Amino acid sequence: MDEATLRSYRSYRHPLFSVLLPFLFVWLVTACLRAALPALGRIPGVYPVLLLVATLSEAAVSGYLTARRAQGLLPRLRELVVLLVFSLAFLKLVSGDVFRGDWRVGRLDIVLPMILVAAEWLLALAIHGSLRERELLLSLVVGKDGGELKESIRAMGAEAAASLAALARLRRLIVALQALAFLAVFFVSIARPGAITPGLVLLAIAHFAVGLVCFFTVNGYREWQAVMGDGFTVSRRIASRRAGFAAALCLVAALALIPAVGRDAPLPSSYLEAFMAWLQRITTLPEAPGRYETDTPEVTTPDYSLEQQAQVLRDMGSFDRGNEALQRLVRIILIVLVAGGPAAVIIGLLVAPLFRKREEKVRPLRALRAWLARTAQAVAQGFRNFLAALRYRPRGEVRRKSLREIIFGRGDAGAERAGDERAGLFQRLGQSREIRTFVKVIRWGERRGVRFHRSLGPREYAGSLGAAAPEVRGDLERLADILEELLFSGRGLTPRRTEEYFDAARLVLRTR
Amino acid sequence: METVSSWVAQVRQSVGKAFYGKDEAIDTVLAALLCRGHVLIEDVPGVGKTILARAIAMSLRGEFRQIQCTPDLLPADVLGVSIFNPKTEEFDFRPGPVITNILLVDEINRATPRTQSALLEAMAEGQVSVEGRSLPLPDPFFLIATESPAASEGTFPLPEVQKDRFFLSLSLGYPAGDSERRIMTSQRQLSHPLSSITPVSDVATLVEMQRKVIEVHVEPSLQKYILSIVGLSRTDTRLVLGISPRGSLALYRGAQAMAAIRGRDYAVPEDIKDIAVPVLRKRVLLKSEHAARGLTEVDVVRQMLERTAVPGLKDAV
Repeated sequence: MDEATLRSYRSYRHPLFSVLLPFLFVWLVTACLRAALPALGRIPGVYPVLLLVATLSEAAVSGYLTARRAQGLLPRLRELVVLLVFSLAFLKLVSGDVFRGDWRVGRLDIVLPMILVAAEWLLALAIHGSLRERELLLSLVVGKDGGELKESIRAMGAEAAASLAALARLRRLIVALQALAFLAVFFVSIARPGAITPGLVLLAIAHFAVGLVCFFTVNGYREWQAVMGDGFTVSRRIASRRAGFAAALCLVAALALIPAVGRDAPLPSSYLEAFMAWLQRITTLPEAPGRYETDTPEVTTPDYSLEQQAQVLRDMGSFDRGNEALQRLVRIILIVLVAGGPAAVIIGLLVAPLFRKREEKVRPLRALRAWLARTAQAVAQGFRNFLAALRYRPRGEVRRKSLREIIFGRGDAGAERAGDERAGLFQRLGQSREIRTFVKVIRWGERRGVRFHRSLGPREYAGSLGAAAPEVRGDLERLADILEELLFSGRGLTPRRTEEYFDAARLVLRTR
Repeated sequence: METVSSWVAQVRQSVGKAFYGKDEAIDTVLAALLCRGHVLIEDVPGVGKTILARAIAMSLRGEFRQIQCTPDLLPADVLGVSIFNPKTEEFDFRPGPVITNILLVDEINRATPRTQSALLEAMAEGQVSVEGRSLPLPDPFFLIATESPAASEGTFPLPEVQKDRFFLSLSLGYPAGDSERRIMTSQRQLSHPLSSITPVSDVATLVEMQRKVIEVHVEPSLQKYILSIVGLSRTDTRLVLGISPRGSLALYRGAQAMAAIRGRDYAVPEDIKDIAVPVLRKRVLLKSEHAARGLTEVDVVRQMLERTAVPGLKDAV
């Protein structure tokens, strides 16, 4: 890790991520929404310039503040305010309001772009902030190489952990942005498929490709750090297979989308276009005549007056069952959720094997089968745990289990508690009377909400039970003491000790 | 086993005159002493590591020596050196501080690996080799080493082979509020609380206690339990290094000692679980990628305990 490499990360590689990712995402989603819902308002066509300025300013100011070692929220808030003021001035200028003396700010075509600018700036801030954690780690190991680099990274445990956590957050964010963009494109393809222009398709492909590149890069960062921590490298074969898979995926996506666009598609109509048209037909109710234009509007120049747009918004806000616009919106949302959700999951499953480290797992169908099997097992286990949880009502000092623990039955670190399947009938018959008695005490305890796990010894369990039933704590301790003497002392119990044992058990079991 | 239990209670009370609020730590160190093992205390400066070692030594009427490790410490400074006597015209061997009953090695990770290795033989064999001859160490020989946190500069981390030779490792932690207040108020006089400690036992009694600990019964089911715990570490993919047979032996002996300290002549699962973390935490080596995520050796050992079924009731319930 040399100074030049670190400088390249700081100067252009990481800023490129924080500029391109949110810029393409917000632009794509806005274009989709404008195509699907022209009633959103007339946003000036130059709004992508504002979006680009927002991300560039974040990257530039962030670098400047880092160089001056200025930290804190206040400088960034000042930057956001300046950016919004600049955006307002820019919008007023390009809309000609300045020359007309119109200084109103509370208009949809002014407010909405400013909201988009703020949202994009925040996204850029989040992405750049995550990458800064990695820069911090790299700055601490600059000038080191080979074994010395490994040792340094191992010594910087806290910074390495923070860097890994930030990269994990960033990876999740990239996936979330891709999923949201997919849903937006899907939404507009149902609502107004004729409004999808080749430009929108290219924007979607560009967003997807950049997202994939960023995802791979972040994955590479994580793997590099794992290598430094005695992890293992990804072989060239897997790396090239991943690249080929990604390229093939982009090609298939392009081939699938292009035929479905516009009236003048470059390729003949496909089944996908017919399917989209059929979906559109069955989900579209007749529009009220005279209120909206019946022709499909172009994306960039909708010809509505602001009055009509306001009327549409008011209609949509009215929760009347006869509200056609609302019905249509509900149908679209349902279709997006029902069809879009599984579609996103299937695409995710196809993409997920790209990021497997072991060669045998880089097979989509096998990964899908394994995932389905694991999901079925988890659902079955969750159902069993749910039934078990219904039997026990925790109360008093006993900690309530979280829903995650009830469903999946294990803790955060993946530690599996020793299972608690019940002993079979023949097993129970073969036990000594003392053990059968203690099992009764365990059942008594479980009714009080203190569950028994096989990793607990008698004394430990008696201690937990004593905390929940302090009135018999002494008897429980005596019981556990004598049982351990029976189990582990290598000698039997004397008659006196046996009598003491069963007396203590009786006292416990008699207590409600 | 009341004799061991009462002996430990006496020593604990004596040590407690200078080392406040950490009875569990005292019991753990005494367990190592009873098992003829050595202790590694890893903690930040100023929590009482030296005081603990000194207090134990003063309570036992044994010979006590201390080595303050520095990077320029030579093996000869530890083992001893022969000096020419002009009167007799012969070389007289002057034994080093290692020839003692209780040796405190302060900041062992500041000594060079060469000097650290000089202590290996002492810890493992009970003898040292100097100028080609072997010198037996006194019986008992008990070594307490302290270690600064790994992030300190100018240190030489102990290699795994040497960490494995320590019977157990513990971290004392900061004293609780009341204990810290007592620390502040107890030193209003010019004399240190250590000076109030009088010996409550001697070396011969300690040897007798060690012999009694070995006689504590460990049921075969508990032996399998120990092996199950250790076996888990060898298949855990988060670890570079699992627990060696020396570790399983240490866990076995430690359980015997804990049982004896608690007044029993047989071990129970709780004895194993209570001693498992100090005994095993330095015998596992985490992969760095997991260490970077915040996982510690203590977490791994605790998870191994949670995943292993305790014998006795596991087939009954």
